[in-house]
Amino acid sequence: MQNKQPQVETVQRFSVLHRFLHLVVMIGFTVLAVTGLSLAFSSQFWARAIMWILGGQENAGDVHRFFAVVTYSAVVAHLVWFLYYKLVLKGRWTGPRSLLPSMRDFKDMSEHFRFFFARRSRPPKFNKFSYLEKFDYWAFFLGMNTMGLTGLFLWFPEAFSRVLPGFFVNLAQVLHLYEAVMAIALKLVLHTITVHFRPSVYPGDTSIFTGNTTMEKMKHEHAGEWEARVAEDINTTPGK
Amino acid sequence: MRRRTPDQLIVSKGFTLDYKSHFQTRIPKHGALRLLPRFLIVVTALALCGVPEVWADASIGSDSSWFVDMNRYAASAHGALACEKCHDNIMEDGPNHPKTDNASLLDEATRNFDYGRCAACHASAVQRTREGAHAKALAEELAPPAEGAEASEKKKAPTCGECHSAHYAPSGRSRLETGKEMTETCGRCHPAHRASYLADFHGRAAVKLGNTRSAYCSDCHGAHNTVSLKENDKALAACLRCHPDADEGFSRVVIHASLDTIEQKEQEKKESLILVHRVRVVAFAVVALVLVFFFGHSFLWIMRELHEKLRNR
Amino acid sequence: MKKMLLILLIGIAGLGSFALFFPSDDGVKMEGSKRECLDCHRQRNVNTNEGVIASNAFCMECHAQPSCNRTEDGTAVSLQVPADAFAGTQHNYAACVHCHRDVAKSPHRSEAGVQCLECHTVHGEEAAGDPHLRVRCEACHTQSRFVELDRAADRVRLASMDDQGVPLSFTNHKMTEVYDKEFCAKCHFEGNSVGAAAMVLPGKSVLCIVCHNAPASVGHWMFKGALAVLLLGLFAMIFLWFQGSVAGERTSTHRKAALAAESVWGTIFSRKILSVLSTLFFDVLLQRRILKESVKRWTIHSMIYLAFIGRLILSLITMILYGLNPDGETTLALLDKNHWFTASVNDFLGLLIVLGVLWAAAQRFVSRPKHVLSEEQDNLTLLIIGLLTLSGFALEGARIYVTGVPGEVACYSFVGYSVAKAWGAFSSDAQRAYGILWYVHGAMWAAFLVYLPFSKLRHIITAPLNLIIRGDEKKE
Repeated sequence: MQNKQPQVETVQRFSVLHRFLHLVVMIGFTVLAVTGLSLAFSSQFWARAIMWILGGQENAGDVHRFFAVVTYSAVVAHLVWFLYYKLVLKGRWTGPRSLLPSMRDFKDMSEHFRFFFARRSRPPKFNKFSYLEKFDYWAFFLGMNTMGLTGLFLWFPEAFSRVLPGFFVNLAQVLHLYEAVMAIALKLVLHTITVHFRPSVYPGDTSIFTGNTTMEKMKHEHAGEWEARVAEDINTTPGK
Repeated sequence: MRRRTPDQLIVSKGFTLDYKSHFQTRIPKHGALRLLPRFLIVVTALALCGVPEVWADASIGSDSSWFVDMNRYAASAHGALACEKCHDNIMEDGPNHPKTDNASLLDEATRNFDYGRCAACHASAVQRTREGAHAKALAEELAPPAEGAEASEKKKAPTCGECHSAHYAPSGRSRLETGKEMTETCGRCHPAHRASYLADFHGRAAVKLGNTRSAYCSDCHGAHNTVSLKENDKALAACLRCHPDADEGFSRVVIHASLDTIEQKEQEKKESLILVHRVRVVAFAVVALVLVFFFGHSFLWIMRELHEKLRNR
Repeated sequence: MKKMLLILLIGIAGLGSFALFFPSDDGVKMEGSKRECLDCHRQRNVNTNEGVIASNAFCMECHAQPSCNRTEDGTAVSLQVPADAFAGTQHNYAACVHCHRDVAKSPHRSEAGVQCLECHTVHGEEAAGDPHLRVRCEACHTQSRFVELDRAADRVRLASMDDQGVPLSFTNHKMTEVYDKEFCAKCHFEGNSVGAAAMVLPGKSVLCIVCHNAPASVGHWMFKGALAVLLLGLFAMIFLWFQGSVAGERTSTHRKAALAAESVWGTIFSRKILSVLSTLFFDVLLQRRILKESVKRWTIHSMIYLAFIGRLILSLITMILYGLNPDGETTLALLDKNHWFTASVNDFLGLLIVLGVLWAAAQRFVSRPKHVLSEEQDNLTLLIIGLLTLSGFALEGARIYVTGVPGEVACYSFVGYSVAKAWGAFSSDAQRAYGILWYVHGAMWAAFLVYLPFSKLRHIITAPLNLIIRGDEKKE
């Protein structure tokens, strides 16, 4: 019976750990955004409604801090995994499958813009992670650290003002807000749009939840990686 | 230690007790299930486009008029007092009832009334007011100008009547109602401070979100003895009332952090405010540029892909 | 037993309320007898006639006296209100304090002035154009001819002195007959100091709804003519269509119309309406077909077309909101062209049109790609739209410059404010130019409407119809 189903060649794109971390960050970030924006826009009635549901501003603050810890532990877990990958598995962190930015990404971006303006007929051949995916990753990674740092200032102002001038708390308020607005606009809004509502992926890309992607999809979205895989297949299975 | 000498905490005299009784407004942390009805109410309210009363701002106004609204007067704290209790010297036949000539009609009601009378019932409040900055400003305003000195453009100093509506102020109001009203009352003369307080965490939590454990104006500045907190030790005394771990550096956090009142600040706070402002401008520019670039990028990408898709159909 | 108790209770309550509603001795005592505080100082219910009479008696104790006056520069100005000031007017049973809300206090001086909006609503486009939002009601509605601009409050109000420096008295409360347009001339003359146009301009037309909030009347003859030509053209278009055959019928016009109506009816009340709606949304509103041709062409077309649609939606919302709730916060924000939201959205959309027209013109005359067939018609269309929007911005700049909108308010009209700066630098007579530009802008729109049925512009009407009919055929 099973043989009658058309064979779709699936490839693993994300490990279970990465899927799990994405899920944690996704939920944590959303809760952080909702509780944080309710404080930032507290004169809006929807913000008061959310605060009221959560049982007051202090409860909302506790929820915010709890999920801040949860979200940041995802960052820590990711770092621990990276050390394990590097030291125990002796993995590579450069090369075409790496998340490290390279000159190639800038070239890809300019080529992509040429594609937008109809100067070339197909998008450039992205490797495993395109320049935008790398940007998403690094923006989040760095953003979580700055948000975490400024957030700590605001969590323990008494302790930090012992070592730093008092106005660092004011500074942290400003930066925490602006960075939050940027992160929400880039992640909650733009990341969702480009991953789910772009015509060529609509109605959504599930690979971050299932971990798998198809060769067909990869050929379209990450043609560089697809070519590398096809080449590997030919090299490793010569009889085929 | 100079931190907690009793005379510096005099601001909070009579205040600590009230404060503690309001500690219980918070919902227990593990009451998540209890919050379910709230959720349902909010969803229903949003569906009906109504705003529950809890979100409505307290209405404000110490409206001075020749006419007394007896309905509101009867419901107010002074509702049981006959007119003569406070106005016995200006009964119509008395010598002090305002005349209807042009000059007396332009007299200020709050400058004519002898607020010393309030002391008959509110002795400590009047006493503490007399010690405070408002009374000092009033004395300066009423003092005859020095020879040759030009009339200064200072703000009008407040008497009791500028802040309190003697006819309409209700009694026994909650900490939240009192706090919201005082934000507006103080804000009538200190609008920039009201705005910067409401933009600060304290104001957002206390006034906008109704967290009565946060600080209202008088919690830091005192009510009747109106303390300026420019001096760091005074500010620290105020901070310590809620932040027991605070020290010198903590009192340098700028609460009224707006450029509108920067001229009144000490040099050190001035500089740090300007720095914070610059950082804000840079942060705004960076955020705007990043967002314009990436949203533009995705817009172009989507339009291009839509075009390809339509063409290949 | 219970019944007895109930009757007793009702009886007591009835007697009590009788005593409450008919107190033995209330009202204003006349001179002579000794008065209690509350004889005068009780706040009356000015929503009742008796309350109004009692409340006014307090004021009139002084203001009926001939000796009641104020002194302005040593001159006595009468404050005596004539006993018959309100006889026969709508304000006959209004309390003094109902309009002069904040004056019954010490100091006896009004901060806010007379209040009309408690009972009356602000004017929409129907009675007076939106620049009049900055004019206080009494500046137009009282008979005094002298008005001034209060720069601090950005309001036009009655002047307290006439042009000779003689203080004025307004106590006769005489109001203007507003149907007599003569009263407009107290602001609208050459070289006025309140920032009004030098001429009395006609009101907007309902045809202006495409970009501006508009009243429900056609207005000036210019627009009446344009509407007549537009309707004639559309009629001719429909007439031409019915020259062909409809569903096999070739001769009888009546049959053709009946068959066409049948088909429309059948489409609306069937599942076909879904495909028609989807065509309307994707192909008409979002211009899917042009996107299929090229992203660039879609962008250029959308910059013009979607900007017009955006302004149409905004002005329709304004019109509807004004009808429903004229004093609402949102309504007032949308009516007020200087409000940051209205100003920036309108300026942004207008700028998109200008840029779209410029881009299209560049395609036509500079880069000339193969698919662009430059026809006279298209050039004229572009010219009309371009002049329409440019004159609109020039007009907006003149309005901002002439009315002297403060910079921190005007900066949200970012294009208009820049133009206003240019007016300040180069122009000598913007008040006059304002009027002329108004006619130019109106004439451009009239020209657009007149040209519409006779040019490619008729695609605005035919293209959606074609799409719907064709889409319909495709399904079958």
